[in-house]
Amino acid sequence: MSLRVDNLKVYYRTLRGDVKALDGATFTVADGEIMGLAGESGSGKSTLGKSLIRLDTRMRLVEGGVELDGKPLPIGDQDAMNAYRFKAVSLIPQYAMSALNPTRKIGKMISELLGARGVKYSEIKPELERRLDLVGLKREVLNNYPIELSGGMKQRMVLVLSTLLNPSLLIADEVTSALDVSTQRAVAETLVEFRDREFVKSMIVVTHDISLVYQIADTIMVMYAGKLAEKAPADVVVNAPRHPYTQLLISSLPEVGVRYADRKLAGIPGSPPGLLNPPAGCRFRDRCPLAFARCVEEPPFVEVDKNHHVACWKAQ
Amino acid sequence: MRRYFARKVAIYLLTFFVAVTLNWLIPRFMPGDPVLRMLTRTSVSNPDAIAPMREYYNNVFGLDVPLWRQYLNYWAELLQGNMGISVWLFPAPVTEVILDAVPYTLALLIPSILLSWYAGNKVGALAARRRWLDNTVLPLGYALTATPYMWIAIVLAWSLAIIAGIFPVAGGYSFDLQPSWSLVFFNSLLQHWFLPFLSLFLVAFGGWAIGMRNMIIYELEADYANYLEALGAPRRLIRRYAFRNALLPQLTGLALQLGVLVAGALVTEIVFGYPGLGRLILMAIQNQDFFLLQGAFLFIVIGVLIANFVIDIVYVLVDPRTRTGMTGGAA
Amino acid sequence: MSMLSLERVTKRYRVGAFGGRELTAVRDATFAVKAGEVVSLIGESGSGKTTLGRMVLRLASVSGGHIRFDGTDVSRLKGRKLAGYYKHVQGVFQDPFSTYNPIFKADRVLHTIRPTFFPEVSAAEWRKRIDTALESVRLDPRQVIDKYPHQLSGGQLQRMLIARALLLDIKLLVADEIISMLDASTRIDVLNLLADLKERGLGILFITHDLSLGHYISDRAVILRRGVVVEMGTTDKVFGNPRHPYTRTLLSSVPQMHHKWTRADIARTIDGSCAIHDGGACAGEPQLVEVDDDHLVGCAAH
Repeated sequence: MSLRVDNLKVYYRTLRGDVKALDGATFTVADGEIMGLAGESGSGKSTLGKSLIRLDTRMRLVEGGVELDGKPLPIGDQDAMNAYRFKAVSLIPQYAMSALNPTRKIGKMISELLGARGVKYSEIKPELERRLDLVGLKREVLNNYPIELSGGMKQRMVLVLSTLLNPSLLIADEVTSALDVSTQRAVAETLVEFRDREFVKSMIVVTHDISLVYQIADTIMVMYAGKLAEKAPADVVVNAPRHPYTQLLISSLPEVGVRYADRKLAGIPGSPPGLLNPPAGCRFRDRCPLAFARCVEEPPFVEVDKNHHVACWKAQ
Repeated sequence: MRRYFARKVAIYLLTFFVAVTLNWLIPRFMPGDPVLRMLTRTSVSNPDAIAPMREYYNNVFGLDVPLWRQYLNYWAELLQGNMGISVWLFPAPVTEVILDAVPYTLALLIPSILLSWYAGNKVGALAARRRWLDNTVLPLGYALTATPYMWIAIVLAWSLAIIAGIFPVAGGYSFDLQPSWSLVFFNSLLQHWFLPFLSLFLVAFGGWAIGMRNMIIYELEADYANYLEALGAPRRLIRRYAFRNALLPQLTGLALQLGVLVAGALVTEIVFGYPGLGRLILMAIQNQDFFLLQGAFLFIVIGVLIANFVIDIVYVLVDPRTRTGMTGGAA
Repeated sequence: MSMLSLERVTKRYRVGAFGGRELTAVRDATFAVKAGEVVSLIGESGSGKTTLGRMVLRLASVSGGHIRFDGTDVSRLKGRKLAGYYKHVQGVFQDPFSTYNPIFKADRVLHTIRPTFFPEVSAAEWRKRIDTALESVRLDPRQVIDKYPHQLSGGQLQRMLIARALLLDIKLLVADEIISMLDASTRIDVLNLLADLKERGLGILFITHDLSLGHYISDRAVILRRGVVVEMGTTDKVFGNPRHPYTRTLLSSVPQMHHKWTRADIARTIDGSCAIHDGGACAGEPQLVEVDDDHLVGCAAH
């Protein structure tokens, strides 16, 4: 087991109280697995992704633990966590376009970063250049400033840099959402290639775009209002989801081939509950067409089929 | 790159032309007749003598030709380094009078600008990461930068010179000394220099410190800083990057502030009776010496233009983004 | 008869410190929108799709060509006539939160049009019209009136902007990426709302980068690339039988829900054959050629 997350709760501190952005997540990601982490804004997917590598100052680890390759990951301790970042857990941020220091040459920045982490730049440079070749970047980009690169080039540069030390776990946060359709596909396929070449062992791809993550992920985990809703192999989530939220969400997504005139899609009425004081029980029940008396109790996230976990009373 | 500099030079030359023209124009629209004033000061008793004398002086100062001719003459003389003759210190040439005063002004301006910029940035950057420093530097900085130059100069003169008696109150050097290359004279220069320097330094320092503190906090929140943190980079490296990047807007700020700083220096010189351009301008105004006034203003304009040009060049050298902008960059 | 027609519309920008260089954002765009029709303007970033929308809304000037609305050249309108134009043509944009002033209540956007367009309408009558407009975008007036923007969802804010357009005697709506910032579970409802308005006779210029949205809602599609229309026609034909290599690339890259990317669609992408010059040299003529009934394709060199 590469990654094991156990009842993880991460809240945001605000003046009005804690926002329960991630309220108890238990799941595993296997070696070599690319897990798509999907959800709408406020579902807790970004909080989960961030908390595995760096809690920002407003985030507070309330409960739960994370294990990576059998060893506990000290996610609540900023300093202790530093030893694991980049080497064991790494991140491709949403803001890849502005992730590189604008006033340093890229190669110089990488060598300073590596030096600070106790890795010799000269030793790793041949591997770095091989990987630049692999993603189709010229080796000269190391002598360029970030502004001299196009958006797609910067994206690939960050991809190479983040995975340079072969981390066990890579968190890719909305990596394709700022890209055009044509570059989006290339970047998504590079992620798969990096996994296949074992540059990274496993990957969590945080996204709001299920149709994109379906293309590259082995499994998809769907979150709703700070809770896990469903996790299953990608095909199962898309073709035979068991959680009512997943079902409604999938059926509301237009795709090429679907016309309003032929088949009118429908959204999900209502909106997610506020996370400052979320209601007890299933958080989707106000919008759920299948809700019944038992939904005031919180449904556990259990395995209903092989590798298929669902948090819904109706699915069990 | 060459095109960029050619364009910059062209802009600066245009600015210079406009400044010179305005500079020539403004005193000529001031009320009063300087020649008449000079004659009354020398108290010529014979009324019949005034008319020929006035004609003579008008000729000496070149005021007996039409305005457009005066303007052209002005340029012609200016390009030869001749800015006319001072009315107040007649018959000393304006250039000479100004060149005597310029070293004093530069000795105040250059150290106070550079040191306040350097120290303000350092202290501001420190304040951004230490709470106790932040809590002291920030209010102090706001108070200092909001203080008028004149006021802080008066406070310093009163407290450190009149009450404490540590420093002299006025002048460029002790009145009982003649300028010479002696240690005694140099010591006197330094003592007289310190208070005007300090008042300029303090006001500017507050502004730079606040600016830097805010810029560093902004930079530490920037995406590249977050990314480096996620990759486990030590705070030291991130702060170094943030400091360097925060310096760039501070450099632009310096270019923008130059004029204000020069104006502050002029006022400060007047408070301390310091024999620089500021006092010269005051005297020129009081004596309606518009040749001297023009000359002094012109020197200031040239100085500010040169300083701005230098900052422009430095900026290009330190910020790669401007360089790519010049060559077109990656589309 | 087309309501809105664009004829060789071009937009050039001057760039550089002294405007030394010229940048063509849109070149020779020619298409039309009929009443009761949704036309999708599909393109990636930098394609000029937003510029076109802004020119139709008179938020940007036209450098060349003509935009006509009901036969009148839009770029010449001034004063009262321009106000009259805005009574019929309105725009809604991507970011609902930045359209609203956060310190005023959200429904203020509805009231701001009254002094200009309906000074004679009484307060009671105005209230009634607002309720009707809100109901027709499926908003409950009791839930959204007297609320600040941050108290409403992105979907509600966008609907309110559409309601604002409906208060006027609107004939054409320019919708620029209006649902791309909304959440998946609610965005489809806004899309359906647009389709309903269309059925009531409204013409819609639907600007998007998302092919699946464009396909879902539109009757006709216009594919833009770097400021040039490369393919246009009825949605069925453009999406079902794309003839321009760029359209094919887009369609093969767009992630689909029940179909995974395959090597085969990459092969389809590489096929850069020109629909106009079969195997011959592509000169890159600006004119589109009709390859089928109501299906026009540009040269592959674009």
